[in-house]
Amino acid sequence: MKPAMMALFGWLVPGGAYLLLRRYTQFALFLLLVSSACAAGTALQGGNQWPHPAELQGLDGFTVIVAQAGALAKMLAGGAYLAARFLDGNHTFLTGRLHEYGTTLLTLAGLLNLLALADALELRRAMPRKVNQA
Amino acid sequence: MSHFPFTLLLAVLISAATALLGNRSARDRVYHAAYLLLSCLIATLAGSWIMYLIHG
Repeated sequence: MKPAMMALFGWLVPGGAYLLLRRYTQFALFLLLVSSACAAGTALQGGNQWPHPAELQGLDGFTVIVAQAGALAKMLAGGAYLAARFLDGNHTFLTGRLHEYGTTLLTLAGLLNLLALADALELRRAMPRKVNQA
Repeated sequence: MSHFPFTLLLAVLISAATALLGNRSARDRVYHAAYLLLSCLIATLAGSWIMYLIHG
């Protein structure tokens, strides 16, 4: 499987890139970690939407970049993030600032999924060529 | 939930996730998770005391 397809699947299914490498334990544990962090973040009313320009008004450039990077990090949780948006997508960026615990957990979920994806791609590269093409 | 239990929760999640990475034995993973969790705890406690000594 090509790295781009693997990355897409790994994004959509938390830890899914491990599944494609037949590393079932790592897949199950990452799925559990990312999903539970995302569920807890949603339950704690963390903000899961992209910040609107009106919400960023009056902030300096660096803070705007940090706010947008935080929103991007949440999106990295893939399927869990989409489910959170679908089930409970009313929390704006400003609401998220009020419920910091939830927002932190959502951000962590995204970063954990990115970590899993990067590791799976690294493991794929280290595998023998024959297995890569399978 | 106060800040300390939440920090502990984050430390547990991060330790568990980083221990799962790579191609290691189960024993190495447990050592890695325990080492990172302990390091996070020590850093949190040290940071808390430093802030307390600075701000009172």
